[in-house]
Amino acid sequence: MSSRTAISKPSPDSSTRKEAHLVGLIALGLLLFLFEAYIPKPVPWLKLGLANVVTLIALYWYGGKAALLVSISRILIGSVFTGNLLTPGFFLSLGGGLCAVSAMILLYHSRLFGIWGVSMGGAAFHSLGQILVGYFVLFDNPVILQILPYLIFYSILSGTLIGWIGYLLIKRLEKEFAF
Amino acid sequence: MRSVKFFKVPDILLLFLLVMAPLYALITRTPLAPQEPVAVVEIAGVPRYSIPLDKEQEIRLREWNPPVVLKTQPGKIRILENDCNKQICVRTGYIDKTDELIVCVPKKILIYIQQGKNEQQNSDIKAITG
Repeated sequence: MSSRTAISKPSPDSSTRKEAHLVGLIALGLLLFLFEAYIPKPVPWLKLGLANVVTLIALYWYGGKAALLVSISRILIGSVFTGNLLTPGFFLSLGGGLCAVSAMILLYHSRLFGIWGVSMGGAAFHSLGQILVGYFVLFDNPVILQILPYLIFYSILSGTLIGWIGYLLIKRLEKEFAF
Repeated sequence: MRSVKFFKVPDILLLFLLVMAPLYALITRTPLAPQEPVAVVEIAGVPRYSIPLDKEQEIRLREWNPPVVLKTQPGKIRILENDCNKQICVRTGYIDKTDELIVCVPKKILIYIQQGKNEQQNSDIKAITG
């Protein structure tokens, strides 16, 4: 059964299942997000983006809208938990998150790319979104733009790792839940 | 079910793009020109002159007679001649840092530096959190 047909012909059963899955994914993403927020990092904003695994799963299971929902909910609820709601850091996350999800949706629906490409593109656009928000909304200091190339290099690494984890999980869950 | 693939050929193209674009940006970027220091001259509390400290020159402030003579060198400034009693401002000599001051109390002159030596070294962003 394809994920697309699940969206276009929802039986009561499958739509309930979808809701349950999405809520579960949001909760899981929140957990990963908080886990990552509280482990020490060399530089505060250099995160792996573990929670993005969940966005990937939502995207591959239920398509773009679901991925957007899962990702935005995680950022909103997560920022409440970390006490960052409406702080500059929150807007950086939100800008990055929106950019990342949009890029991933486009890459996924192009049907040209594997999970690797989708994840890597998402990670790169996350950096891009953060930097753009940082430059145009928060700081207005061109020095910020100079770190973008390094962030994109880093996002290749993180995107690859996250894509691989997401791939393994999607494969594994396929068997477990027998979609 | 649409089969899930980790890798498809266009991924390599994307990887190539993500390596080359930042590389290109790093190679072709022009370093941000450091802002040159500027001396601000306040007279009676009002900023009157803003003097870029880029070369050696003498400036005469003709508000007084005889004029007060300022001398600049790249990055620094001093009062060279001033017709006042204690010559405190003249003896202050050159200033080149942001929090240094030349003051002449009798003539109400205040000279300070913006973007001085110490400030330029610290102008990079310290941290972004988020």
